[in-house]
Amino acid sequence: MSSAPPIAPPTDVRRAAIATAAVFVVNGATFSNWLPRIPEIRDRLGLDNAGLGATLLGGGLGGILGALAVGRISERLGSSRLLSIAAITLSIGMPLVAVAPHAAVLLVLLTALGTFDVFNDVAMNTQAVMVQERLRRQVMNRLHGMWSLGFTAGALLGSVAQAAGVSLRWHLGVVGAVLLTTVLVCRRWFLPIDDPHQPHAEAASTDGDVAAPVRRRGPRGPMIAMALAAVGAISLEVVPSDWSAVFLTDVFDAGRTAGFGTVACAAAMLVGRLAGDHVLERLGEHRMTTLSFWLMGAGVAITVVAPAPAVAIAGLVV
Amino acid sequence: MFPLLYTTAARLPGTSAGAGLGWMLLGQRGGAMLTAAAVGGVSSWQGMRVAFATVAGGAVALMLASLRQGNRAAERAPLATSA
Repeated sequence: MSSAPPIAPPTDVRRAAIATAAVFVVNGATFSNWLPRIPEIRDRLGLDNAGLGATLLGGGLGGILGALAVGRISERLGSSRLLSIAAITLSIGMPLVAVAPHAAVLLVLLTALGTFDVFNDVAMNTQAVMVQERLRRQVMNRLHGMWSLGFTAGALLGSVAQAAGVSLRWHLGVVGAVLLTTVLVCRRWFLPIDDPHQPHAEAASTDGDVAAPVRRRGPRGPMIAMALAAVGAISLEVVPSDWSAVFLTDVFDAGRTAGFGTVACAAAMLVGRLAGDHVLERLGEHRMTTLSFWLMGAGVAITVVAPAPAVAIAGLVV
Repeated sequence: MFPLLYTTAARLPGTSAGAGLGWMLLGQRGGAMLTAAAVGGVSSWQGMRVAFATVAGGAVALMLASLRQGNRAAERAPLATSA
């Protein structure tokens, strides 16, 4: 992975890389388009904030259900078919948010979208890892940067559409059609067959290329450890992005400038993801992980002891 | 960290990419809900600085410990065979 030979990758791999990047953008834009219009949806359904919060929990619930089921479904369908099905379903399902007649219908819809979002996430990243291995260079950070770009563009478009008075149905309908077309064009370029999983190193054959058949229940220790690491990682993403404005308001009485914390976090994440592959290729995985932990610890420390908002924002950026 | 976690989860020895990523996303989706509740709860009890310090500091410690534990467990885990 570290020493890239100076040969151009085959056309099918390059196409798969482009198609995978496109679905990362599409996935980011799918959900962010309607986020700025949530107050409009709340008012149309006659909900208060508590009712809205309960309805929005559907996305999280669907995500949990999807994560519990996705392993078997992915093994059965393969990532290419699963990605096509999930991305098409999300592109068609997202605009339905605009026509949900009742909070209960929206709750069910968001639960389904949350489930298919996990299917999409797993299949998209499986494709991304295979593309990375065929390209023989790091691209995961850049692909996740594409997701961030899609998310930012979608949120911006949603805000502009709202400010321009474009109806929610037209806005989400047109965006859904564009996203659906993108997926339909790209799906033929996905890598069609998943790589066999890697056997454990100790028991692998000496030539190392014979994979054991897929089993449904893998070694639980590493998988549980991975789930716990993801709890930590998402906390470090959610705390600065979702709570920085509240932090700056409560601690520093930042008022109208409180939103800069969120903007700074989003920008820092995008820069980190776009630069991450270069840093990873230079430092290697172990040194980059060690450096990341030091930086995360420093960022938390700077933020919590910051004497002024600018220092706190610097900590959030780190 | 997430791009690195996705890559690692998709290549866990002895299991499929879908299963490894599924477990990782279970932690991610559950963790997002837990984090919101934890920051909200701790901040209304002890204030925002303490909430940030405990939740974000705890998250760094949890990631460090679980990645170390995961590496050890991956080394110990037996070869997966068909169900």
